[in-house]
Amino acid sequence: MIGVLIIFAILAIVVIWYIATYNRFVRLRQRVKNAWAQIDVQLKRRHDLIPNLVETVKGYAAHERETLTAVTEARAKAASAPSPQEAIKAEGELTEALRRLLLVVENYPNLKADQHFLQLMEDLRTTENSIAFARQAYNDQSMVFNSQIKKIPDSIVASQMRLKEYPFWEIEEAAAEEREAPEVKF
Amino acid sequence: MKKTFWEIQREKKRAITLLFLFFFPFFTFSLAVLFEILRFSSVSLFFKDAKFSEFLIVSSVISLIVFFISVKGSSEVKIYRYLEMLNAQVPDLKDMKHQQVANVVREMAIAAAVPKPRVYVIPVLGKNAFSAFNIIAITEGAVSALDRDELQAVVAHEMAHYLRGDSYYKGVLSSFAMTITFFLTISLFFAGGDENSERRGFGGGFIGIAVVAYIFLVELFTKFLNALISRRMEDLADAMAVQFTRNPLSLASALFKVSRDRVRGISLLTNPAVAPLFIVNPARKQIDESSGVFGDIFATHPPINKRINTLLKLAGVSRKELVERTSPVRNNREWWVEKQDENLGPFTLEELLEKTWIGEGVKIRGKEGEVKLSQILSKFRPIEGQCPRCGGPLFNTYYDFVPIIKCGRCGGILVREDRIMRILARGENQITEAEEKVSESSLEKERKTFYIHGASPEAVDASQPLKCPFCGGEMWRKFFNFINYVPVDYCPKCKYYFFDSGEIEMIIAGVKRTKYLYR
Repeated sequence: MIGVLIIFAILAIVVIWYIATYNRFVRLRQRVKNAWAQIDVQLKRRHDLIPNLVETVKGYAAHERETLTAVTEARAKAASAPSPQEAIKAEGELTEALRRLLLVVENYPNLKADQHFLQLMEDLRTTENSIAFARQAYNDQSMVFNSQIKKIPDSIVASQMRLKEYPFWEIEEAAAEEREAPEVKF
Repeated sequence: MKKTFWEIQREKKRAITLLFLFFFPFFTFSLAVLFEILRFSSVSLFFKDAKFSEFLIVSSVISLIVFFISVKGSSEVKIYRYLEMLNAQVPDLKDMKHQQVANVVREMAIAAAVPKPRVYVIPVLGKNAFSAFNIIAITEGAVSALDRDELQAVVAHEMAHYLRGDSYYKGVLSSFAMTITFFLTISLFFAGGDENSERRGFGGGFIGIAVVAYIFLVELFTKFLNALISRRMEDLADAMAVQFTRNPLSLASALFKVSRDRVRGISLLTNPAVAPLFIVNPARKQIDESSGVFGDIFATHPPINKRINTLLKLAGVSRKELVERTSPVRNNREWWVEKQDENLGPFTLEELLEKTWIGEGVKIRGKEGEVKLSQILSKFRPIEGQCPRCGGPLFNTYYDFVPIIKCGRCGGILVREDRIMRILARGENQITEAEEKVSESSLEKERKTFYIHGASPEAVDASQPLKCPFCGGEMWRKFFNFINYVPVDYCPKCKYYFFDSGEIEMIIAGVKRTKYLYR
């Protein structure tokens, strides 16, 4: 009698654990997906902001035409990219172009006293930050997810659910090159 | 061995879970023991023959009820009422600093992968921030003193509390503590012996002392446990803030600046019910500052220096570098001012426009030689209407990002009522020592005049009221407040204050000196 009860209790615990783990994985996966979607939202937001930003800069630094057209072109490319791979590449270019624009802005110290100009800087900064943070959040969430599905005994449930690791968002090629130490040639 | 923020997070999360798991049995058991003690008192008529296990069942039912009530019933109404009392406002998007707050909250919500919470700015000078339910509130003093990265770090800390739902847990903890106190208090009434019982002569004294001693011990232990959990929560939120910003140094310097707040401890924020929710305890108690024995037992916040040191270790930066980093530097100082044969400066353009004593009779020299105030101001958007004092032209400009209206001739400024606190908060960082001295002496002069003649509203000369530039109505002449008797003009219809040349500096100097918080 007692033996039966013990077996029954162990079974119940296993079932409860299975359900709890299953639900946790569903929740974690949802978080990763959500973080991924957030990157898209922020990129879209950047596309919407750029025409305004470019117009404002033009008012102050019209002779920086090259930098401005580079931004506009990169934006157009990113907005109409046919495949995800190309979209990632185009977004990388856009990030580069915007970074150059920010550098240009740094060259106008007198304008920094201007509220509109500061406003522009703030807009640029928050947009770029949002994208960086969205990627970081995606990487954080997928890291938690990836390490969780490998842990024993949770990995049993994970293999039952056929969960796979999510890839990390790598930094773009252009930015990666920037981080490498410059070669010195004689 | 250096710990990463992930490891710190794991450690603290485990500690919090364990402490919570310990809290429920502790609560249940201490209630049951209370019943057991009361068995010898007059109320024991009802449960004289009950077993201890029955007491345990009753008290676990009570603790479950308390738990559900406090989770369901921890209402946001109270927090909203508190915010209303403090006159908290949503960020004013015309003010760049406030816009930064709004932007930073959005960014951190993205980094934490949570829906964006509501943001409020509390118009007090103390430097602090708190989060409760889906609200993040930050004081004007903090907004003014912190740069963008530091604001981001503070908001990230609050976002961590929001993500973890710490305010709910803190609500549960405090309602358990309150329930214990409640039961213990009512038990005191019954603790006396029963006149008619055969245990007369034994019950009264013994039970009374036992109950009092028991109350003391249980309350002490509850407080201890509460503080233990609360401190772990703060440490965890710090570690999570580092995860969100990936910038431990900015949180360290934010905490450093906030801890150096002169007006901490005398601000309006020291309500004990909400104090544990803030990033640093607003009450500036000794136990929160030091890491002594008492600090380790009863403080709701970890010693702030310990927090800063942990963050500095994560950043790999020494304390000396932190101190150097937090001292302000301003570039582009190219403006000189000549007042009564005295050469003052150099100032930045922003500073130049902030000084209301720069007006008629003051020479301004820039890179291109001498200029007039109105020439500099003509860069800004002019508004219709004339300066109420001198009839000069008015321009929309800014006082450290707070929108103000400035006269191009006399240098007086018009400020909307709800923005004055912000100017007082930001002026603290803008005003120089020399200005402070001058303003203080004129403040003293005003004070003497009004003090001798009796400081009543009638003491202000109101015979020639100024005309409001917006509605054309007469402005009231009154004291700004009754701590420093600075007479100012106020349009009750448009809710605008007019500060004559030099008056705002006097008020700021007064705030700095008296360290009072006023509205």
